[in-house]
Amino acid sequence: MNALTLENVSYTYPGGTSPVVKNASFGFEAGTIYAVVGPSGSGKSTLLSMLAGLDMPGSGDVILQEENLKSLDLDKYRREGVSIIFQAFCLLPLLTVRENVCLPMEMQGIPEANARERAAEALVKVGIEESKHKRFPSALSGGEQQRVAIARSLCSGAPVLLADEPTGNLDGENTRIVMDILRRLAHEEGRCVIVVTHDPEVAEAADRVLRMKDGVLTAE
Amino acid sequence: MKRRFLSLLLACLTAASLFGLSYGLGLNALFLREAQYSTEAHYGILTLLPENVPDFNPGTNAYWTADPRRSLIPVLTDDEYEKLNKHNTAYPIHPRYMTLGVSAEYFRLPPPEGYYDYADRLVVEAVVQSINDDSLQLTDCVFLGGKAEALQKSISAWLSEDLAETWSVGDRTEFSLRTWQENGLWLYRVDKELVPKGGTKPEDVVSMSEDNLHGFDLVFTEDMGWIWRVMQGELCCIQGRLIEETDAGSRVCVVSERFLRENDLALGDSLLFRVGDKLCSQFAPIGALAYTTTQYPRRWAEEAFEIIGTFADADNGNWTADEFAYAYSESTVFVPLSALPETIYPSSARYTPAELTLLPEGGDALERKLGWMQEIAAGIGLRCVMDDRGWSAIAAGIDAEEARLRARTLPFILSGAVLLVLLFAGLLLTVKRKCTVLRLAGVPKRRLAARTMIPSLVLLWSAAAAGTAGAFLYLGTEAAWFREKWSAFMQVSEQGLPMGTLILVPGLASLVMSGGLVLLVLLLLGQDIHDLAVRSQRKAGKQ
Repeated sequence: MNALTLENVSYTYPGGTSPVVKNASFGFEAGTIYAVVGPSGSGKSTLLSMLAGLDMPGSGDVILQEENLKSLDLDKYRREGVSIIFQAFCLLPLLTVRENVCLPMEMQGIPEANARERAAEALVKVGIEESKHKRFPSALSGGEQQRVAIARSLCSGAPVLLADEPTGNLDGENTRIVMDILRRLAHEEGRCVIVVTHDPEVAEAADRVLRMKDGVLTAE
Repeated sequence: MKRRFLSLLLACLTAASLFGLSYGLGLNALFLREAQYSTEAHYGILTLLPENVPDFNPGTNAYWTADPRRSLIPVLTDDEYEKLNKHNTAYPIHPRYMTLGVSAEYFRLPPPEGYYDYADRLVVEAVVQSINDDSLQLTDCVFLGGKAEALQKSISAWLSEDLAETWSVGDRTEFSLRTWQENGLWLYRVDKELVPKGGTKPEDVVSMSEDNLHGFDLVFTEDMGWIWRVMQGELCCIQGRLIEETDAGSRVCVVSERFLRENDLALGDSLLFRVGDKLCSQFAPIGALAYTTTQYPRRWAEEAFEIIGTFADADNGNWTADEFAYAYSESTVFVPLSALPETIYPSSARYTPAELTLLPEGGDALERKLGWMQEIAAGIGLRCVMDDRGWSAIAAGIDAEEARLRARTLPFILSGAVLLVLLFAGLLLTVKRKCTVLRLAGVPKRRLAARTMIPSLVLLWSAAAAGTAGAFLYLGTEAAWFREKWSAFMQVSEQGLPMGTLILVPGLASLVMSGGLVLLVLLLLGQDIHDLAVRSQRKAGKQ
């Protein structure tokens, strides 16, 4: 069973004449890391938006395991089905590393102690040592901040991890570290990791590479 | 822990900024309110003067054959008084009342040299020895009352033409004689008081004559500072103090320094008067004397007054014609208006302009009101002069203090406002980022709204309450000090703190911030989640 499946998915921007994603069909498996590559404007970010439930396909279906996205509560889908990592990290500067990771859990009503325990585990998993848990994001390097963002995504326990240019703001060393973490999450925890990237090094680190060109998705 | 600490820090900074704003604006409001009070409470003193005063020579015959009070400055007609009183809310009219006070113990002081003494009258029983066109020869004179030292066995008295046929030679009857001295000789003139057919009873004339000799001019006034000659500095306080508004209700008086000295009196002594019910126009050399039956009181009230001060007129005896009606004799006794006996009905009184003081109110309106009144006064042959009681100095003091306060409070206001704006902007950015992250993480909208808005609103309003309380307490401790400082150049009130400003400023600021926050959260919750994601990616420089 695929973790996430695209069935003839097309998308045209409101007011647009031609679709930016054309008839995309693919099955994303658990335990695999995918890289979606392609030139700017090819439709890969739009594809990721649909996978994340931020946009609904104009036609076709996105299926999480066996459930069609159209029939799911989108908030719940984003909370429990997929987790998103952005290039911008999206950390709150006035919260400590641990508080940033805990925040979504606290908002979902998870008791503070549980949330803190899970946050600590996730942070250790992405290589953020405990001494840095109480620091503010500004005290961390870009790579470390992105790892904190990954840790925050992990805490949701979502089977699918979506990353939009996660290494866009990182140097080579940090890119490798982040990709190692994502690979580990796919291979050791059985998550389905889908990374949208321009970076060939990131694409190389993926198990499979999908190309987008003029809205058409093709698997290599 | 850090989040809580930061929240506390944020609350403290917000409270501090609201304190700065509230304190700065509150202090300004306090001053502006006091300045307004001082401006409104300030009044000018407006005196009405005649355009032209007829030449008047006390030595002329007219001086003692007619009542010069009527010819010099006539009393106002009802119509004229009505015109002056037309704008009585802009210029409340304060009349001074003069009436006769008779002392059993003390004598009225003689007028200055060269002035006829209206108190000097001699009442005798005598035989008519001869009658000419303008004189009457009396013999076998027997003293009945009045000026005893003027009594002689035989008296030659001037007689007005209309009285020439009243008596026959050999008649023995009572005569009322006005008397005065020239070159050491007593001179006499027949008075009309005891003329048969319509004349006054001899015992009454005797009584009036005695009262004249013991009669004092009691002037009832709210404040001696409103008297024109006091304002000019011509009538001055010599000992103690003059009657003030605060003396209302007290039985006190101010007498002339000469009267005090010659009678061996001192401040604190009391004077007992029989106060008559007849109101008289003031005229320095005549005063309120009951020298005619028309001026004589019908009812009396006994009052005692404690001497609190003495006065002297710098021009005593050298008054010019236009000063007569505005000056007071040394036999004047000033008492508070509140001491006016109930038997006197001021509403029926007729005034000369000299007895009226107008008090235009509002420091900043004085010049304007003077202009209005000058127009009204000119229409009835009067002019008016105003003492602004130092308003220009007060206004300058207010302006200077306002500038000083602005300089003092501006840093509080500006730093408070800037800090508040920065904090609010920071809060909005944080909330915006938080909402974006949490929406992308799938946190339900309702929970998100509650978890972001409620803590922020609690923080905001707690900070506002703390800031307001701080400003209230701080300003409360400073207000007395400031009022004392301001009282050096303006009148201050006993009002409390400007609660409106102290509460309204932080209240409004918090309301605006709360509204902004709620609006932002609602906008973010209503915004398409895709847009939120795109914006968040754009921040990273990606299209």
